[in-house]
Amino acid sequence: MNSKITIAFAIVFALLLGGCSSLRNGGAPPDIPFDYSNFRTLAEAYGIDKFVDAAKNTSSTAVKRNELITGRIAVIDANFYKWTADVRRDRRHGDTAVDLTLIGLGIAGTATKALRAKTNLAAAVVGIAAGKAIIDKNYYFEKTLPALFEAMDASRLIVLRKILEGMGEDLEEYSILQAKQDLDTYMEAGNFDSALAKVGEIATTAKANAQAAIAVLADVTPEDVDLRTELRKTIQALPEAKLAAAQTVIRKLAPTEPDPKDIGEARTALMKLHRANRPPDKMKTLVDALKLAGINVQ
Amino acid sequence: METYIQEIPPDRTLIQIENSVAYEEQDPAHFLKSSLSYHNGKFTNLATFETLADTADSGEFKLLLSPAAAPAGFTKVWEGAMIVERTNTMVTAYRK
Repeated sequence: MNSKITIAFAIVFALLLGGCSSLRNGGAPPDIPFDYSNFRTLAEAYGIDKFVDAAKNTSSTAVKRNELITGRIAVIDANFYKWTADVRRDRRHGDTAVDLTLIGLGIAGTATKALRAKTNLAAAVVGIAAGKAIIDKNYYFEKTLPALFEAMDASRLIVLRKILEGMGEDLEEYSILQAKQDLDTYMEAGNFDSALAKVGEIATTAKANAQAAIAVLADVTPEDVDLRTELRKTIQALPEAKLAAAQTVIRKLAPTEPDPKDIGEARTALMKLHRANRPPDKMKTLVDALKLAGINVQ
Repeated sequence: METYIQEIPPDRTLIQIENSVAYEEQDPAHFLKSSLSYHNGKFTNLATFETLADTADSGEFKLLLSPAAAPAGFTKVWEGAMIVERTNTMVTAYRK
């Protein structure tokens, strides 16, 4: 009997919280009212067939094309935002409902003295949590949903920019059929397939950039190591009296660099040259230039 | 200070690797570690370095086969596996 009361308590607790207005939309503000009967009219007025008709009509103008584009963008955007809001709200609702049930069952598990009821409730908590994990993995790509929406927004903006540029062109430069094709691409940019492709593209670029940044360490002799060590120490300990000599070397090897005003700036500029001339043959060029200017690398 | 990664080809001898790292450290920089990685179509060594200030002294670097006693005045900075002459080898890095 006690266990029945406890379970009832848990369910009532969860339902009470579920009815709370702040949680009604899964923690999101309420939807802006949208007349979907009007949406249907709009979708029909700016359907694909209207583009085909206008393209066949030889008296169509750029103004007509732009009117069709604007209407079609409004239809696609309304549909996209409705869908993204639904997906986001479903996700939040799912999280909230499951979390509340877990809280309810957890409290009940703590409150009851009956061992059997506690065991049943604990099993229910585990079961619901596991079910939620499966739903998350299968339908919402773990935590990737926000990233996927970001990718969709990026893809949509790229296509939208092309369309808006086209709207500034005359009909010969940007035809009605070209606009229709771009609008199809714009619509397709707002789906998960497109988003995943975009994420993959970004990852491939990042990998290529990372690989390009990895250089192979120079194969050098012990004499090269000694010379580079001495070069570094010479630059780091360059005395004030060698400022003019340092300026000569910097002007010769780094003509775009500003002239160093003091020995500190000269050392910094020479260290930059030291790093830029890492391969042994280039390092020797720097050493020779320093020697020629009167700075001996011991 | 920033870190960066450089490749040490897997066919180099222990001495060649020691020289390559010591040469790189004159940037000045410090060798931190090396990982066996698949890079550009082959298994190789990817070494991580940390940049140092222009005024820093990077010290002297030594790389020995493990296990090995630290050379006099040197401190162990890393121990791990590297591909040396195409062979997976345990090595220890020291710095003075």
